[in-house]
Amino acid sequence: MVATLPMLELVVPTSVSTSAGTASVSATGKVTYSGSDGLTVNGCFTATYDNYLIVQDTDVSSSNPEGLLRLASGGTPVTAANYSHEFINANNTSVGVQRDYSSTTWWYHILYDDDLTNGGLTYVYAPFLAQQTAFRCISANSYSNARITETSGTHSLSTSYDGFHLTCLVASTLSGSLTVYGFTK
Amino acid sequence: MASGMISMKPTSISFTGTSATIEDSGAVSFNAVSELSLNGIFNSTCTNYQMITQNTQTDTANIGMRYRASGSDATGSNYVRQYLDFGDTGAPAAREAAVSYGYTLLGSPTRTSGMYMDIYRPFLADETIARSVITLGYFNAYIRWAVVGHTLTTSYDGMTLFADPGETMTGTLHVFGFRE
Repeated sequence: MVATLPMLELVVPTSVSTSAGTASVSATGKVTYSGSDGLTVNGCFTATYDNYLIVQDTDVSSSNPEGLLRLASGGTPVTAANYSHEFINANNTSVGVQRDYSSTTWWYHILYDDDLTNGGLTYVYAPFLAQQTAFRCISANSYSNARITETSGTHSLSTSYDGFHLTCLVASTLSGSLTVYGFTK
Repeated sequence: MASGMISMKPTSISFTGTSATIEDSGAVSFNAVSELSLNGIFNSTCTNYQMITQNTQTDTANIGMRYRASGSDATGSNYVRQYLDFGDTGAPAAREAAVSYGYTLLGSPTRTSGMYMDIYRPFLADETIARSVITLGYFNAYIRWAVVGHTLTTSYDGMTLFADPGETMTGTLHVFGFRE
């Protein structure tokens, strides 16, 4: 008999930080934040798992702030131009796709407008392994109350990262919650 | 280590049609129903949820969805739905605002369709938004992505799925909460 394991396990980050507003992590791992202009989640990627899922619901304080996602190590976001992403937007009848190479961040587009909450599932592949990291975000974007965005990307360095950083391209604050899960190996 | 997902077994269901049953696991099986209402699937335990379904239906049509609270559907024109389809070589998209229900599946009578829908903040007294990734039996192979926004700041504990007039649906669904 093969042991039965849950596919997803809840991860408890070691800490969170924000340069403005408030952020905290509960004993069970739920991260909540309010008025944050840049949220860093630390110690959520470890050797226990290879792949992760981040589930996030977030309000933003300004219109069209563009959500950004960076990897982090030891509490410091990684800002060198080693990120690439491909995204697709469906905005009413307009469908656009775009790829950016050698960017200083992933655009993950989970956040867009200030009139409704935004939600998304972000899969992060192999962030803690000393190999290139990949991600995929499937988001419910609130632009005009319903917009489809989906993004995937890679990071070119073969470096181990233990956390991630969320912020916006345009000045805005983030309020909401997220949880990180590991996929059992 | 805590399991990441919790089965949200409905506290009760109601339906119009042949049969519907809550399984011990929390899944719901339904057979030839035109409407299926799930009560008590959202609560304060979780903020965000995922529903997984598979179904066939008697004709090619969308399946509608409405949130519900204390046994009553939210029928106001407070839904906004955006879809993006991938069918053969085309990728049409559209948004429909101020409508009285959202879309879930676009089912088919000849092939099984499947869907997972991520539902954000339904139980909070806040706006709700949902994202679906849908595998359609329409034309035997068809992709749909969808977002449904709901603009009322109301707490909902359930959802109703319904077929087009005169049509029925048969399948299973299961709602999970993301543990937090």
